[in-house]
Amino acid sequence: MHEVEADFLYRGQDHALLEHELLDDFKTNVIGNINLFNLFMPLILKGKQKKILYISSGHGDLDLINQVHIAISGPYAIGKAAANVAVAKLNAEYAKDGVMLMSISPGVVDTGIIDPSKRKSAMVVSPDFRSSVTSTE
Amino acid sequence: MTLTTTSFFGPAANVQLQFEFLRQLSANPANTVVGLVRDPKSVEPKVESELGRSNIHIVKGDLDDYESLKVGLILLSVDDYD
Repeated sequence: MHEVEADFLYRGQDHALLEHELLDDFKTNVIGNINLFNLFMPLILKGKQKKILYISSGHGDLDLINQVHIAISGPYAIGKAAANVAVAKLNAEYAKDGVMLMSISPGVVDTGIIDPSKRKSAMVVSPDFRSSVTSTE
Repeated sequence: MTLTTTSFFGPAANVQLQFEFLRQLSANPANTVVGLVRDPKSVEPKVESELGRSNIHIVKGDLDDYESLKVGLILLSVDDYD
């Protein structure tokens, strides 16, 4: 089983490794991004656009997880969901300064990690879904 | 580096999806795009050979390393931003 396809039952067989994965993802994708936003905010405030766009993921979307029962990629999904909240908090904090922060999901992009034929879940949410897009698209 | 038009800054500019943002955003010469990467030495040749655009700047920084982010910020801040 590829690491990103593992669910919590599988990952929990090695609880120490699971803890490491959760902390590792949180450090980079949550703490790291909050530090990045905080440090660069003075430049954003000096700019004209005053926009921060966080490239999030459908993995961090509670509705998608529940509707399609996506059990895989727990540590990554938790990191994305937490980062979404961090982005919302900073958006609330800096709205008075004219800064907008938002999270977006780029959709299903074929980055070569997962076999495209396994992407049936996207069709449940969107019946028109046929295939993932390439990064160029 | 005086930025008079739209500038973009993004981490992990070497990763597939992020590199594509770098490519598409820098296609407009009026834009300035700054990519944050852990190891510029391994990324700059790719940026140079595949894109070779003067409006792209690669800055060293690691989300896991707060001090490196501060250095990246200083590198950007020394120049005049509009």
